[in-house]
Amino acid sequence: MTEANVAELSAEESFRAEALRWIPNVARYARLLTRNQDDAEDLAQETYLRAFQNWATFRLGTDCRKWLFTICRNLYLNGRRRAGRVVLTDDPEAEVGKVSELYWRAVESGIDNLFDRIDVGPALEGGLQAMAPEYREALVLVDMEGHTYADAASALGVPVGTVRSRLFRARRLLQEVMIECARDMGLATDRVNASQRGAEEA
Amino acid sequence: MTYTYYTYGGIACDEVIRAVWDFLDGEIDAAKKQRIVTHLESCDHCRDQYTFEGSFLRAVSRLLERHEEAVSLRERIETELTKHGFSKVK
Repeated sequence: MTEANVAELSAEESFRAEALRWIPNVARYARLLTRNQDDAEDLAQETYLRAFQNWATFRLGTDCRKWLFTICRNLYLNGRRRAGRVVLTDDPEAEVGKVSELYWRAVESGIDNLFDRIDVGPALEGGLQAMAPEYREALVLVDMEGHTYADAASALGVPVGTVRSRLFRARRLLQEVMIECARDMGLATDRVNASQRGAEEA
Repeated sequence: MTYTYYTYGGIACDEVIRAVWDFLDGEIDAAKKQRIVTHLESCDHCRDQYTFEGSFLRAVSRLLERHEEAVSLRERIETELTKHGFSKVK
């Protein structure tokens, strides 16, 4: 076996050990980006092909999952028509200030214990698929794939504050969907006086 | 609608609530984290919201279970890679 073959085999082994184990994660990420099973599998396959062809550029010991997500996202963006994009509001402080809005709506509707009463998964799934990709991918990376804000920012090529803003916005969108779902199911009671928040000022 | 805020652990309710997701995400420094923990031990109102937000985030993370990929995908990827020099393991 030539030295070149040894090197080639070594690259394959490292690719198998480092990259292929993330197929389930890449597949989920692709599915959440494309919102279509067939497109997701094509995207995941293309991601791995591109990763294999560029494996020499991957630095062993760094975060391979993040590297794969970056490839996946770039391929997705390159292939996606950008027409009709929503205008994003990347203002972290504005989002932070709204954190409580949905909670108090839930309290006032008597559904703050919603998680103990119904499976909110289907509602959340619907909300996730309906939101703008920029919000969805921040939520997927942090809430579902366990990235830190900094890692997600690196993967998405945006500042940490932008990730934080989009993440919080995505969460609020999902909470709105969840609360609407509870209302549709007749679980809300409009008990405004149930806010349990101490003294209420006029 | 406005509410009365309390200060426990050297931090007021409004600041605690503004940090709710940063706290749950582990994205705040140790000193602030400790102040929030102390506050939550004494403040029922903030603790209730933290419980709500924590339950929400756990529900979101469970969405992963709804996205299990087709078992055949790995096979498909490895087959495609073999066309580009990858040696498939039998």
